[in-house]
Order: sequence, then structure tokens, then C-alpha cells
Amino acid sequence: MAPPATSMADIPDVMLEEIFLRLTAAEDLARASTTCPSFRRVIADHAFLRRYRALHPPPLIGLLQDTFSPAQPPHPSAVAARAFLGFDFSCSSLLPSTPGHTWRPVDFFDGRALLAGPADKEDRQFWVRDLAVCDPIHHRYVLLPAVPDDLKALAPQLDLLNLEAFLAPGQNEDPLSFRVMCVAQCTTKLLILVFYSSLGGQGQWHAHTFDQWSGQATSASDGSFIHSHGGLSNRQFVHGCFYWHLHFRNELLVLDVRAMELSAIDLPPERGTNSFVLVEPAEGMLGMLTEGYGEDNDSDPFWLTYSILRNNQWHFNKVIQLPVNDAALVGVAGGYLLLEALYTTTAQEALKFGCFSVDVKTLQVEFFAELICSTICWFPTIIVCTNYLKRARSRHSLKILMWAMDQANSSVRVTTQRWAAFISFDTTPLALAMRAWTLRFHETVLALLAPASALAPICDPGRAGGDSHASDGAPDRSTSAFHPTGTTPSNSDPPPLGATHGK
Amino acid sequence: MATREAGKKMIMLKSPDGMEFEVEEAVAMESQTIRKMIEDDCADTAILIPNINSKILSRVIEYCNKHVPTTGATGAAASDTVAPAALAEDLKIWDAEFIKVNRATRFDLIQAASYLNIKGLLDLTSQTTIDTISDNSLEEIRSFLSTKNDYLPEEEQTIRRENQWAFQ
Repeated sequence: MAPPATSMADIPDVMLEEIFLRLTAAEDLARASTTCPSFRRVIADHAFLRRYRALHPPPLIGLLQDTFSPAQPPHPSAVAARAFLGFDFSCSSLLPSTPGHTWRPVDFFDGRALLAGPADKEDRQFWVRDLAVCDPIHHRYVLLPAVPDDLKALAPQLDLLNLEAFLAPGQNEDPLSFRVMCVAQCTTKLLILVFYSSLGGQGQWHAHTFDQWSGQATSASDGSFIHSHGGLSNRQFVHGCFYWHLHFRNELLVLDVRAMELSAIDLPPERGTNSFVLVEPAEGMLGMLTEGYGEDNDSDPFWLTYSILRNNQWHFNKVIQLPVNDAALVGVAGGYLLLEALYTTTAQEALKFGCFSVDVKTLQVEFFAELICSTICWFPTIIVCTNYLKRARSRHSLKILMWAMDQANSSVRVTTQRWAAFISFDTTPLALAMRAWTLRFHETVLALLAPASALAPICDPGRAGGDSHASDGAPDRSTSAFHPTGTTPSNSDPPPLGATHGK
Repeated sequence: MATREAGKKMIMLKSPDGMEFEVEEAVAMESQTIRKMIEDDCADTAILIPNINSKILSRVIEYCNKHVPTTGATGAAASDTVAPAALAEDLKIWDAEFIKVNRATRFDLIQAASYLNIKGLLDLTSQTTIDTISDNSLEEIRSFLSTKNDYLPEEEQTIRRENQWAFQ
């Protein structure tokens, strides 16, 4: 017979686990862990955290711009967001820095931020820069060791077309570990360098090479696809896999992070837009939300088309009307798709700018937050994740721009005027100047609202590949042979903002 | 009640202090632990419940009796005449009364619910603890749950700083 328990601390750990699993709010769990060491021991345990995360997915709390824009009531996320009002997500104060050495955020995922140190003048490649992974909520960071030379050598500088670094979940989806991936697109192969975190240890870089890359995934014998619109874009993470949009094949490239295997999924041929998000409507299922809008005038409706993948075929499921004048998909986090939108609450009122959420399971649309001005769409959830979506729709960007120029706020005005100038003239010198400027994520208002690759610079091959891209900045129509008959999705894309036009 | 014994298999539960409780098999099987024993045929005559004294065991049986689906011992034919929603409401009121116990008993009930794996009872008994953690300051949590703050001052400072966001 066990002695009678007079204190919660006398209760065996297994039972404490059962109780703590019933705490639905992450902040309650954090408070419980602060109560006493025995609670903390139970809560900090990996196995427990795995179980907890499986039962209580991290809530979406808001949008991280220059400052944090929390979810606003009556949105259900507003309660969780309240705790983070004024919270500093920047991480830069945590990291060791010297004058002139500044860290820039590259990615946000599962509560952690990936930051890159300053780029060498010559070389912006991620594997020659300092990389750090930060947990802004718990004030911790890890400096990643340099990529070993023998791994760097696998992707010779001249062969490198594009490089992208991002955070990925740890092995076995352990919430306390993480991976950092550098995906290098080369002319003949795809190289993925993966940093595996290890508890208490240093962690290590490993290389995964996919030699079939060229033939299988691009089938561009001359590699020409790369020079136009970028090979892989619109990275999204759903149910253990990263997905990239392969524009010129109208396919999704799929990386299974458990097996580290690549595969491809066809996209529906009738999809006229590049803006889509992938969601997991139920365990293991893949759904897609694509934006649609009336072409004729500004008051046309805006909607989302929902399809589900079954037996490798996309099946139309339904259309979701949105109560907005105009919108762009921002990304998926914490079980919600966020849309950035211009909207009015009453017919008399001036347009407002803000976010709406779509629950990926119920497809219910709700008001999320009003935004003052928008900069960057990383997406913090308590355990944060992010998606950068490239904006292929110039209509939305321009409408936001016009809206922003109407606003009294002077910084918005100045910034938007620069953007307006950029969009109006689009000359090469200005483009380059603006491009350098957009690198400064945090000071950039409306950076993401520009079409296409405005966000890409840090991970963009533009500089690594030199001027060789200049000659074919516009989408390369000659590659339309790679599309299923009768579709040329690229034709409707505006050229990437930063692209030079061979003038 | 005359039909109650007909076709109903009874089972004997024994507490370590020597008390025996005869319950319907269906009632005992509200406990997943006992269900497994019965299904694995390790329960031919009587089942000894090692960690739970007779006072707590009798309360657990009371809970299972009330919550067993269809007709429980106390519910008799109630489910034939009462709408399900009203029945659920009735159960909620009953639960609220049931859990009005002192702290030591509640901890014992949590232990028993956990050992016997009775989900509903564990939900019920944990709820007060959950509410305590959700609604109170750290000092109040410590006092309500009688946990000692064994952190060293500097340790606590670090942990509080890390979890600062949870205290706003």
C-alpha cells in the first residue's frame, strides 16, 4: 500500500503526466513547470513533450512583422496571443555580436528561428555564413558548426543554381530536436546538407545527394528553367514532408524528411495561379487551397478553391467565398491558413488591411487581426512555423500599395512611394538598389507584397550565378513543352521583381 | 431490480486491507486495467487491487456504478424514460457532488483512477488540479497543491525568466 499522498509532488510521475497532458494551454504547462523541480522534470521529459505536442498542436498566435501582431479577439487564438504582447522575437539580442556583425532571420519553424550571420561580400552562400538556431521564447540559441569542406565540395560554386536554408523538424519528430537543411540546386543534381541537432553534443552535418535530380525533377536538358523563375519555390511543410512548387513541370517536389527521399506529385492542370497552400485536412491526407477571383473589376468576389489528393489525383471539393475585397495567401501555421486582405466592415467604411484565418480542418473563415502595415510574413505560433509564399499576383500587391499610400503613417508612405517608383520604372539600377534594400527584412515595409522573388534575395542564386541570368529574365516560354498540353501557367506570372530584363 | 442478477456476471474485488466488493462485471470493466485482466482470463475468482484501500475503492466502485453504460445499479430503468441530454446533465451534477472531497482523498482518487485506468474518473479528479494551474498565481498553485518550492533562488530566477511569457 502506497503511503497516502498529501501533496501533488508525492504523486508518481506517470500520474503527473496524465494530469499535465490535460492542460490545454501551453502557458499553463510552462507555469506548472515553474512550480517545483519535480513538475519540471516530468514536463521537460522528451517522451512527455512528444505526447503533449501530439495532443495539443501549437496554437497560431500572430504575425511577426517589425513588431508582433497578435491574433485579436474574438479569434480563438487571441487568448494564447495575449501572453506575447510586446514580446521580443528578434533573437538578435541573444546572439553574440560585434559591431557590424548582424544576424538576420532566415526561417521560423516550430518555435525556433534560423538566423544567418553577415554575408561575405563575395559569397552569400549559406554554408560559408555563420548560422544560428534560436529559441526566442526560452532565450536559448545554438551556433551551428561550419559545413565541412568535403561536403561543400559536393556542390561546386560554378555548378550551383540556387540555395535555400530552412529549419526542419528533428528526427522522429522529437520536439526538442531540430534539423537545418540547406538545399542546393545544381545543374546535374540536388544536394541537401542536413544539420542534425544533438542533445548536449555538437550536432553534425550530413549530405544527401540526389543524382537523378536533373533528369527526374527538371528535365531541362539545358537547365534553362532555372534562369527564369527559379526552380523550387513556395516551400511548405505538411505531415512530415516538405513540398516545393516546380513551376515548369507543374508538379510538386516532395521531400519526405523521415526517409530523406524525393518524389513528385502532379498539380491540377487547370490551376491558373501560383498561389496555393497545402493543408492536412485529416491525418495523412493532402488538401490544397487555391485562390480565385473575378477578373472584371475591383468589387468582384474573392474565393478559395479546395481540392483533395486521392490516388494521385486532385479532386475538387468545394469553393469557399471570402468576405474580403482582395486577398493573398500568406501561409499555414497552427492549423490555420492566414490570408492577408483588404476588407470593409460596413459599406460606408474605408478599406482596412488585415488578416483572416481559415481553419484547415473545418474551412471556417474568421477575422484574425487588423494590421497597420505589413512587412514580412513569418508566422509565429507558440511553437512557431513559417511559410514564405512568393507573391505571384501583382494585382494584390498593387492594391495594397495603393491602400498604403493613402495611409497617413509617414513611414508607410515613404516606403510605398519607393515601391511605387520601383514598380513604375523597373529600371535595372533601381531594381538592384531596391533589391539590396529588401534584404533588410526587418526595416522593409511591404517587402512581401511585391510580386515574386522579393523575399528570395538571401537564398537567391542571383549573385552567386553572376549576370548569366540577365539574358533570360522573362519566363522562358520555350520550356512550355514541360507542361501538360494546353497549359502555360508561367504566362500569367509577372516577371520576378528583382530580375533584370536585358535592357 | 429482480432481473438484475439474471445473466449478469458478478466479480469480486479485494482491497489490500481485506475488504471484498462484489460488483457486476460490466461495472468493473469501466476500469481498463480490470477489463484487461478479465479478457486475459487472469480473474477467475477475485481480483486483488493492490494499491487502493477500501475507502477509496468503494468510492471508485460508486463512480463506476454511476457511469456504466445502459442500466447501472442506481440508474435502474432510468435510461428508458429520460432523454440522453438530461441524463448527461444529471451525471454532471452527480460528478460535481462526487468530487467534493478533501485534498488527500482527491490525490488518492487520482492515483486509483490512474492505476485502474478509468478515463472519466481521471478527467474528473484531475480537473481541479488543471483549474488550479490555469487560474492561479505560482504561489497559489504551490499552496493549493501543497508542493514545495525546492528551486534554488537563482535556479528559480532562470526558470522564471525562460517562462516569463506564461506569466503575463
